[in-house]
Amino acid sequence: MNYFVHRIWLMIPIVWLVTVIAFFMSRSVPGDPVDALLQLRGITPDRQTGEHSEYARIYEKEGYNLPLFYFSVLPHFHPVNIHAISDKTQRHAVQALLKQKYHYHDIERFLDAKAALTDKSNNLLNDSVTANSPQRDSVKYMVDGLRFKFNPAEILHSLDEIQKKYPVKDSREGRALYESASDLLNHKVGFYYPVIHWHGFSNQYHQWLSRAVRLDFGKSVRDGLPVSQKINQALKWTLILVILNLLVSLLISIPVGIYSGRHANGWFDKTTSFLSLVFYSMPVFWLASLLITYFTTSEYGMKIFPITSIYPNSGGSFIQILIHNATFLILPVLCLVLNDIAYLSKLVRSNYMKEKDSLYAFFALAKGLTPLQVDRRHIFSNILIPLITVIAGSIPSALAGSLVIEVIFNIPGMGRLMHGSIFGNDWNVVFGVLIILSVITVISLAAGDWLYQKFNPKIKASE
Amino acid sequence: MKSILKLSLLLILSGIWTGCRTDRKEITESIHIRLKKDPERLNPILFPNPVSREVYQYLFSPLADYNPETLELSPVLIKSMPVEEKIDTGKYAGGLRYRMELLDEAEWDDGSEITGHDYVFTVKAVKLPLTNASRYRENMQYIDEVVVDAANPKKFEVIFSQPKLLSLETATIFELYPKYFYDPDKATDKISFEDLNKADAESFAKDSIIAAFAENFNGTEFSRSKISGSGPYRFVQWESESFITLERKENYWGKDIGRPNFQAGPKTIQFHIIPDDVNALAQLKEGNIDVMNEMTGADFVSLKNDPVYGSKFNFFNPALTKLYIININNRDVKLADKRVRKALARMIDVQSIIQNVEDGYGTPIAGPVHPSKKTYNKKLTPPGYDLTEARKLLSEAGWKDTDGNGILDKQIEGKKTDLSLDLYISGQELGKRIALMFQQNGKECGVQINIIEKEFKIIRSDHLKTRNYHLVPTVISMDLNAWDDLAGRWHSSNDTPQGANDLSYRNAEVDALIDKIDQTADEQERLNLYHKIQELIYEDQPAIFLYAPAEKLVISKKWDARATVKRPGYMANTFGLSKVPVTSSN
Repeated sequence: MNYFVHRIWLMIPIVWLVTVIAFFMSRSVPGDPVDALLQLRGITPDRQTGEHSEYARIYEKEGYNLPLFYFSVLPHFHPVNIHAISDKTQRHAVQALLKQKYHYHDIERFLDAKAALTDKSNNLLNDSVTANSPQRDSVKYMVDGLRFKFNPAEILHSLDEIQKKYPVKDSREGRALYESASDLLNHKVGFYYPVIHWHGFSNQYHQWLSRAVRLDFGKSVRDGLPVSQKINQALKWTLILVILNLLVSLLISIPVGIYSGRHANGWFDKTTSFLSLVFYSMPVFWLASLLITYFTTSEYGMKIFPITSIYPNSGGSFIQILIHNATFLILPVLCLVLNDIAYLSKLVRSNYMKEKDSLYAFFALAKGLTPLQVDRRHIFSNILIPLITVIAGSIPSALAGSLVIEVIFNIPGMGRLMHGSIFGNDWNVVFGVLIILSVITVISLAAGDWLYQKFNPKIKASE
Repeated sequence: MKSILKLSLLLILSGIWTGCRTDRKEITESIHIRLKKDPERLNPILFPNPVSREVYQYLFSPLADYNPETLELSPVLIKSMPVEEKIDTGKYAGGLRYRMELLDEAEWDDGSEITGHDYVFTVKAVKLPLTNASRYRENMQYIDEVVVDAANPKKFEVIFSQPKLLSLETATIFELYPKYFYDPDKATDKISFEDLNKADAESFAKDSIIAAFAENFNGTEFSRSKISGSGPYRFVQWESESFITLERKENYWGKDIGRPNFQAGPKTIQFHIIPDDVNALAQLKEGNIDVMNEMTGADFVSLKNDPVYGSKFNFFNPALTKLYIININNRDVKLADKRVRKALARMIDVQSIIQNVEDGYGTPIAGPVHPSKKTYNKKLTPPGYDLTEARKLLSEAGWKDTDGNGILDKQIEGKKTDLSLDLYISGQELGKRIALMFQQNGKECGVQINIIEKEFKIIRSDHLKTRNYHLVPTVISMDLNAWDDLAGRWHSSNDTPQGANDLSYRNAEVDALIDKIDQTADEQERLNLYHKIQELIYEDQPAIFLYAPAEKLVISKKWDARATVKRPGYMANTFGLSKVPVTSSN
């Protein structure tokens, strides 16, 4: 037991590291959660990006304006917290210019000058000279075009082009932009050094973590439900899939493996080897689509399995719901099982053959036991030991495998939840699912280790 | 060995047993509709996205709506469509007034009458800057006051302080909310229209009662579990990512009025959320689902020609009010010449795309107005597929292959520039087909098309909004309203990173005509303006106009169903059980 606790303790840092990596990955993925929310509200994203827009309001309310982590290590010319810029266009422009190694102060001045010129383009061109000029429209078009350009060299080029038609550089705004763009080009940062900024606890990661340790993963951005509630509903179905998958595959693959091992290279061994190779190399999603197309409708005369969606909470207790929906689980479980049997039965077969030729088996036979007795009393338990690690390791992969299956068979489990949340930029839910999956993985691996040393006297002796 | 045989036998037997069980099909009075996505929230004025509209259209009724057959704006909760009145005197001189009267029979679920006070409440909830109703607020901010008749609360007038395009639509096309249900504490009584017109969010936020109302109204409960409207159906149950059940209101007050929105055919409406197409199709074939829309062209045609299943369904192709176009970056030096844009338009065989992608269901278009609308200019004919003409236009524009590399080139700003264009697509079938056809035909004319595949949200933020592209296929989605708002995409004032004029299209004449629409009351004059604008845009070819697609909708013959151009292509509440018995496959 001590050992088990020790293992779990060691794994806490791993789970923590997973959260940190996932957190930073989610922040570097293109796609904006605020945009996703605006879209749900029927607003075309990018319509509202100004400082006082709906975008900015949600951005600040959801805390996206805070620094990401407790500290940051940034080149000296970067701003302390770029996330504080709530205007999306502005933020992206600053990020792009920083990449080109311009100093943040110069960038700010440059962008302000640019905005001043484009915002005033109407007044600028309404002076007595240009108001009636045929050039006015094309000049305005060119001035407005500056909004889409962020590269100082391009801006200077455009200003030169405008100058040919209109003395833009003589206006206060035009001159300011010209100077700030030239400054930017001339003051490219050549040498830079890292600066460590301490942001304290008021950061996005801390806010999330401090709630997560209390198992409060926040609310889904999309439907507003608590993440824990969504996970709770989904986890049941995934666990059922995974457990059924494991049980059925073991029930089938152990006898199959032993039989093929005992009659190695016989017709049964050859057939199962061939079949398992076929199923093992078949992508699960393809197999699933084939099964649905051929075995659920009478189109091909093989309407064997029912197809409907799972109806959680269709009345009664969870067990009742499960029984009611059990037949709909046959195909998805079959899909997962076919893949696993191939692998597991191969493993059992080779283990069996190895053990069969060992000295202790030979001795048992010499003692006068029948081959069946030898199998049951001596070989069987030795085959199981390596299986423990395989099973413990296969729980995480079974969780991953159920993702595709859940989407195709319409089972409201963790896989589908994850799938939908990633595409909907619903990071709160993604994190919740990720943490739960990491914890399950860690626990199953630790349990595997513990069971292994419990059943394998060799390890205990060496401890 | 034996155990395996037994086990597999057991599996198959249990499968056969359940397969034969007549399952949910017994409840014949339920209609089963497939949804591709979970609607997430059901609160029409906060979340008016198309997926959730498919569900809430049966729960809530608007004051007026487009009739599914005539497509005219017709009264729903009001007695008749109001007439626009000019205000000449007083505070709102120069503005507009609409007098409306709600139906006498109209009542909420608790039996109380639907009155003008509910209208006031809904408008206030939208205008209150603390609620998330930003989509409706954009238009309804121009409603300056609503006055309820003191003697008859069913009567009220809506006042706009200045004339706006689509003001009648703004005043009538939104779902009316029951005040007693969404604002039981009457918090909105404290808010005056005068304060709302100032739109000062901070001062509202300081008032704890108002802030609490907004918090609740925005909250999960009012969009997930407590949902109540004046529609013919009642919200019963919603299981995330799985199903939603609506139930017909018995003794519904509106059933004898004869307006389509009030009809209630099926006893329950059951939405099934099934993202996977293969799964949904299998369920459709098995009768678990009665209605499926947005089918792919291939699935639609193969189902239609299926000897077993083809006879079990009705197939519909109502026009969809959307247009497929290819955005051209008019700012780009290579594309600033309209002859080049016209040449590009002639490189796409729209008919063949409609044939191959849509299996023939679609109408080629010549401009930015949907062909089913009266504003559509029928005199314009789509440019058509003509590579000879394309080559001619390019050479007229001065593009020649001087270096023999197979790509046309030209001296631009003193530099030799190849006519090589970037086409961004998002990985959808249609985009890919267009891209490949473009690339092939472009090559024949000496234009190099580089296909770049990215997620659409990235294309939008990194390329469209920054005008860092040459070509991007997109969709224009529109409403059924008679007068499309052309300003958004075609007026130069929206040529900003926030605006919808992603093409950077600018034509002073078009700008002036669009500005004139707002002030033109005469219908014929307005039509002329729309026709003229389309002519000018046709001449400029700022985008490549492809076609208006048709919906591919399948409905079980179990139901006596009609399709409509109104989204999502059908109104399930108007369906009745068909008299002809449908033989089941079992």
